[in-house]
Amino acid sequence: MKRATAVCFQRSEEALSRRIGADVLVTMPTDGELHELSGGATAIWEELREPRTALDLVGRLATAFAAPSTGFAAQVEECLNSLLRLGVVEEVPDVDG
Amino acid sequence: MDDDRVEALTRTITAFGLPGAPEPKPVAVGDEAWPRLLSRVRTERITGLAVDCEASGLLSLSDQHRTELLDAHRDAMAWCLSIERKLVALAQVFDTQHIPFAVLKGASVAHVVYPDPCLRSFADLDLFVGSGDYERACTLLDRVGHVRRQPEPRPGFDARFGRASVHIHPDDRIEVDLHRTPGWGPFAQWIHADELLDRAETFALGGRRIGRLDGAGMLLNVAMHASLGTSPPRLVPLRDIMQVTLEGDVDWDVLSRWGRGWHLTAVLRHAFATASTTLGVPVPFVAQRLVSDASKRGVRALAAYTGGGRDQGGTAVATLRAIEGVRPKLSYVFALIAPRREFLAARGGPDGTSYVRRWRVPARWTKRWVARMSKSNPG
Repeated sequence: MKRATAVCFQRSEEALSRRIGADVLVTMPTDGELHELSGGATAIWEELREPRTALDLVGRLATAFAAPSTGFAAQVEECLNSLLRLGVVEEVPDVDG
Repeated sequence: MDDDRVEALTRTITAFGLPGAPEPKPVAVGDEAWPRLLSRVRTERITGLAVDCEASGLLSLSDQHRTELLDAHRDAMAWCLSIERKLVALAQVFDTQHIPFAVLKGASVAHVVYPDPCLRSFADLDLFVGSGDYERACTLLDRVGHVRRQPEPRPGFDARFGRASVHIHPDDRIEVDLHRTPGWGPFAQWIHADELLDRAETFALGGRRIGRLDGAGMLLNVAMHASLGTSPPRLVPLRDIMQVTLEGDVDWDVLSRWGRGWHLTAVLRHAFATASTTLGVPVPFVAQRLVSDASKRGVRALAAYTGGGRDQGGTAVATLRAIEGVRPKLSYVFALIAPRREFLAARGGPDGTSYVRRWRVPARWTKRWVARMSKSNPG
């Protein structure tokens, strides 16, 4: 991941969300649709309460899911990109980077 | 499981997680009781608390019932998110026009005093603006496509005596209740609504800071809702009272002063007592200082809402008593007995514009009141 150390990711301040048991409903104020996150996407959403680099995110999820970080990283990035496209997650400068 | 047991379980779910609530025993809910329990959980808007009860093991449900509960919760949350989208959009419109407002109950309570907003469902949007901005806010809602559900009985009635008007956008059907005061009937005459707005704070939502009442105002509002709203009260307003007390950062000195000055001590006491009895949790220690003397006017006004006369003109009479000055009293009575035809049509449909039909109602109340008096004073 090229951007892993350059930026952090976090939930957009504009995102509206609700927990539905183990899943999460998310939307944006100007989005006419609701999106339901489940499984790994929910885990990413929970982690991104705080700004995290992709590397940090992958490491934390790999630990939580006891997954090898190599094959796992691509899946996390795909999911992260989906959340970025929805606008519910945003990139912020990595202040520690 | 009989209906009483379903009702008790509904209350247990409502109190779930509150400090001092009795340690609940795990309950297995069978096929026979489940539809009734789910119906009560939906009606009382406690699907989030029920989901957490199930996750904690308090409620034992079959896979099918668990799925139904999650579906109900998903529906409730989807509606809440729709309301919040609307709130953010309206906040922008109101801010642009420099109309300060505070959200009452609903989203503000869910985000500020509940540990997770998914635990507090709501069905509509209550916005509170100052009396001086009320007409402008009505016009603004109209300009952005909302239709007022019912006109005021007489021009100027709302600004002097009213509590709120309901505005609905035909596209989303979300009800926006625009309040000029959070007070009900007689209490609206005594509350200094502008003081509540002056102390308003904000909460973060959708990338904006949204106005809300401060802790004392929030507690006053949820207590009025619990004691003066539907009788018997809904369960969520009772939970709100405990939740605001715990997490609302209430300034108790201010609340006590408002209680005394605005004749609301009786309402606060009644709300805490009802919440405590219904949910099986003790009145929080900090709230016990409100057990001071309640004014006679406040006690009498509260009785108009909790007693048998509520649906027989009791609240209108209590409001009339609270209105100061002969001319304002006459204006109030005139508006009620001779409202505009549009108001009658909105209330009673195309056949309901008859004044005679409207006057029959207070005539019936008076007849019942005379009969009651005769029975209690036979001599």
